[in-house]
Amino acid sequence: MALLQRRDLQALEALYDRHHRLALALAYRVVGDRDSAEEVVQETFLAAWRQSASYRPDRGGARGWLLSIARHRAIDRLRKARGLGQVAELDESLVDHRSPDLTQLVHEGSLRERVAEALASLPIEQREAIELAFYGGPTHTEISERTGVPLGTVKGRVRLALEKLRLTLADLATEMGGRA
Amino acid sequence: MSGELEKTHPEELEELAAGYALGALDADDLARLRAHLPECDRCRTLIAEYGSVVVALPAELDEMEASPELRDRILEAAGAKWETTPTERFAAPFARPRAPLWALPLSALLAVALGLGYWNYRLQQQLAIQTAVIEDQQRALAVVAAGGRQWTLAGTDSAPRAGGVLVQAAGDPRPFLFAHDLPDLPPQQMYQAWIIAAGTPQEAGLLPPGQAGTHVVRLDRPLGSADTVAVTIEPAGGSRSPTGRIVLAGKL
Repeated sequence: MALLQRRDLQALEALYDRHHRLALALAYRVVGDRDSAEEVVQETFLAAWRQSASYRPDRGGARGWLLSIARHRAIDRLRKARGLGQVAELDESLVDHRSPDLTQLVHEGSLRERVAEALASLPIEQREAIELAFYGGPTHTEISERTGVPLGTVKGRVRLALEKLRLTLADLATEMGGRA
Repeated sequence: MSGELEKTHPEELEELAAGYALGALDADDLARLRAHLPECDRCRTLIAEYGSVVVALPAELDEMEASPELRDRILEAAGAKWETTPTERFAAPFARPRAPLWALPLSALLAVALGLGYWNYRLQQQLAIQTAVIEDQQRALAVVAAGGRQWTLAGTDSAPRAGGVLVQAAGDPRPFLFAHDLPDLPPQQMYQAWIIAAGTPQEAGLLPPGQAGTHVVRLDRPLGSADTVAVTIEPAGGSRSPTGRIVLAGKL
């Protein structure tokens, strides 16, 4: 990342070679067609190139940073295509960023396995709620309208799912952190 | 904290924290969370922890191989953005301006130039700072030194001390934007420039991080038939259409 911040194109190549496959998979899962997904990936890496100086390693790894940009761009595109407004965000200065970045802490293969296990362990309605929220980009109200599930139930399912994943993956972070 | 939130804490607020981490909050819930967060360490921590989980979720996906052309397109676009002409590359950053340079708008340009002078000095003192940013600054100053069309941008209520100047070199459809006295942003936000024609904004580039509130960027697209240029606060990576507060704006 330091080389990317010095506008080294080889650093961008290396970053692309390492992370584009997962960024593309994420974008494809959100937008649903390959051409649009590749456009999202292009926007993602160019955005990373342009704003690399703002990357803060103390707030997470490059992989998580790139995937956040990719998801934001993909959902933005999806919502626009559906005629939906953009979801507003908080001033990030209000958020505590000291949480461990699992994408940095845990070997990619192990993380994939543990995330898949954690998701599979959720009750089906919680898993559907969190996957719809993460990959579909709707608000709580939009999920409720789309699924016919009461709004309060939607909020509860999303929270319970995220809370269970948090506890499961926190164990993993502690385990991996302890080995480091 | 409002009485209503006091009664419902923590479960309802934890729902809001989870919804925020996923970007799923409706506007009214976001407003409630925003009002609550400054006084609740627990919720701030929870959002970060949920955020850490959210970032890890794509790990479950099967990776996909992109078309070979995608890599070339990205590298070509990135390379083109930073390509400079020999004249620009070696232009003296503080070349003495000709008389017409400061004719319009004098105070704004002077303030920007002074700010940039200080910025340049600081950059020269800090070897770790990106050389590309210095190059952009030098190119921008060369355009100023050569004269050209200029427009002023004024700070809005969100950044009342801020100001800016748009400078376009003869024969170059893409102007440089100098912005000064913009408030510092947290790392997860960026300033983004917009070119607006008949009420329709088009993204025109992210402002690189500045020093002492001063930013310089060459806009990504020509002014064309635009009638307004504005700068907003956007999430990291920028947005395809404006979502945040306008901090600078100027009519062309």
